[in-house]
Amino acid sequence: MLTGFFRIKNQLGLHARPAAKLAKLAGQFCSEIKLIKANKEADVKSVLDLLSLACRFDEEVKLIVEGQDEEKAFFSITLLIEAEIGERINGTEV
Amino acid sequence: MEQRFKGIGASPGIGIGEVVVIKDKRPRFIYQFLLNTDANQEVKRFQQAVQKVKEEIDQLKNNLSYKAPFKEVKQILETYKGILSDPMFYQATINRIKEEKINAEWALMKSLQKIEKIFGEIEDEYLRQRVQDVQHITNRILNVLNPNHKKNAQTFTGGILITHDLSPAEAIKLSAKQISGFVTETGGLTSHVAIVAQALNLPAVVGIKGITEHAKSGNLAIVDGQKGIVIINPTVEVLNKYKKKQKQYHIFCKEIGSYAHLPAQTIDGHTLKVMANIELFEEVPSILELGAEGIGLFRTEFFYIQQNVLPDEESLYQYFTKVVKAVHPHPVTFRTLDFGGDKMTAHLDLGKEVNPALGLRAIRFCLKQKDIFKTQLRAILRASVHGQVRLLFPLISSLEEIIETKQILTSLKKELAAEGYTFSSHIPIGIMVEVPSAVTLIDFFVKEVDFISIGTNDLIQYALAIDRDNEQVAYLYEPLHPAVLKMISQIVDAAHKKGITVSVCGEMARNPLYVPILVGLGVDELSLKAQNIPLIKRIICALHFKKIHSLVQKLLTMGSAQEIKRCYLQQLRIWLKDLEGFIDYDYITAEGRNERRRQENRMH
Repeated sequence: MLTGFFRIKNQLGLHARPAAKLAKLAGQFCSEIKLIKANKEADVKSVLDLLSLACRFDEEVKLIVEGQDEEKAFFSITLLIEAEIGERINGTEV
Repeated sequence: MEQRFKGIGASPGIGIGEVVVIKDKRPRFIYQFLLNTDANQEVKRFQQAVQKVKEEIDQLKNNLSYKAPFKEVKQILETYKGILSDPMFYQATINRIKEEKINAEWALMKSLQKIEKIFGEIEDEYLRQRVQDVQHITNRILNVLNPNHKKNAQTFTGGILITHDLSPAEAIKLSAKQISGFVTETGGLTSHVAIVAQALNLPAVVGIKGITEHAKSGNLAIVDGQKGIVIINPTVEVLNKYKKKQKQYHIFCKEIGSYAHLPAQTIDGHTLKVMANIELFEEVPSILELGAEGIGLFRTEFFYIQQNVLPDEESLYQYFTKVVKAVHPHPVTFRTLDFGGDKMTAHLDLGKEVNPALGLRAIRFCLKQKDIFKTQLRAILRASVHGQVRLLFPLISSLEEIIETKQILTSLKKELAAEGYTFSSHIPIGIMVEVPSAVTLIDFFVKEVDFISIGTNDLIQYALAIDRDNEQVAYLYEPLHPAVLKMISQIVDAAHKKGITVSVCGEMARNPLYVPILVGLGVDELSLKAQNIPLIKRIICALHFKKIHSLVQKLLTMGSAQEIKRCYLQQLRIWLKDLEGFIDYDYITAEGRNERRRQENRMH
């Protein structure tokens, strides 16, 4: 299992188009991919689930990837998040 | 009698024509329980409808030509496809058909209601409104399921469409008909249909509640998409005024387009090079069509994002070669990786970065992870043999970084030569100046490089200590801050003394409001989003270099942004009088800028 922490840097939060891109990318992997905000979680493969998480500007989210192709999935999704909406916060869970 | 309505100008231009009011309602259908045997067939019926809508979307996508503005439209259509196959929408509906034994329409409506409920709880207004996309798609599927219900919008044959709501897909279809503009009750500047209208050059005003009740089919109407005004039954006087305005607008649009392939030369013969910023190879045909004289900033990290693994030298070489060949004889400026380090090294514990913008990224990261850096440089060097290649290193803040980078480059060249590879013997090397320390040390830096590229976004941010994504302080972000102008002036002077060129590749370079200042400061090249190239060239052609240069000298003696703006705008409005409608003077104020940035953010 791989985890990463991000802070949303897009003013509009995680909105429709980046969410769609994320879901499409996530759909290419067999791993289970989740985004967690506070105690709500969303399936990254579902654009609607992602949108309903309502990640807003400056909020922190956690990405969890688990499965056979988790390394590849984590690598790609992390890049996309950074390119589109947020920045990585290194460090372990507190 | 003349009636005026004020809404939100969603897409500029002036449309005049006969009104067609379409009060569109969701297609009627019946709620039905299924017999046991019907479930699978009903699922199939639903799946076929979804498949058909997907095909329609693909068709729309393929019919859009390869113009830059359509990139956003395609993304919107992609989002629609994403929703169509979304588990909460697609699988959930199938499950409902099977489990609750209800017909596809009913199951679909139940899925929609559930999604509407979830979205209704979202605090953020913009995100909450995304449910519109789901509603549009639901309606489209319902239409396919009930082919007898002809959607009213499809019967539209021309004129000004006034309707309750329009989906982006419908707008694209309408653009093929004789539509002169449209007005909707719902929607805002950021609704997807606004983005589509802009890409299609369709005048549009949105957000006028009740307009479908006030306007009657057959009325004459004017749609002013710039100001967000709709005039029903205009007086002859008003109509003539708008006809004149419409004509002018068309002439200017056409005229500006014709500047794409002209050199950006001022009235007194001072020429700038105007190039494009790109992220992916796919953009190359459109930037050339829009008149880019090369690529001034190729953000190489996006190719890495497309891959699932770190690309190897060979695939990078192939990719870079494609770009270099396609752009030849113009140059391609490769900006080496501008990543934060953490992305590439998911398994390394680099410690928590409190402030990544000031952290390990760009050249700093590359000099730490030399393998990744060297692989990229080798690929670029090898691609150089196929055309004009320039190398640009981001976030340089010290002389040591330049020296070390150049040493790496020299040793890589030796390595490649020994392995029998060929590469161009003259590859200009440049640095991005975006850190204030680089400005202070610019006299040293210009001795080491062949060109300078100023990244104004970061430079302003770092120089003024403003995180412009932070709404609390965004009003302090000021491109016309005297400190910013002085810094750019200092860079240009140092570079020109050494005989090397200065390029600007930040947002300042694509804003008609700031380009004259950059010209006056003596910048040699601009690199920008290709869509704006014809307009920027048009603006440069309207300027008189000696005059703008001496105005800028005067501005450089002023100590406050307020004073600079007042003096600058006064002159600019006179010099660019003909282009009034194309320059967003609101942008000069912090509020205007923030509003525009919010809109732009939504489009990305």
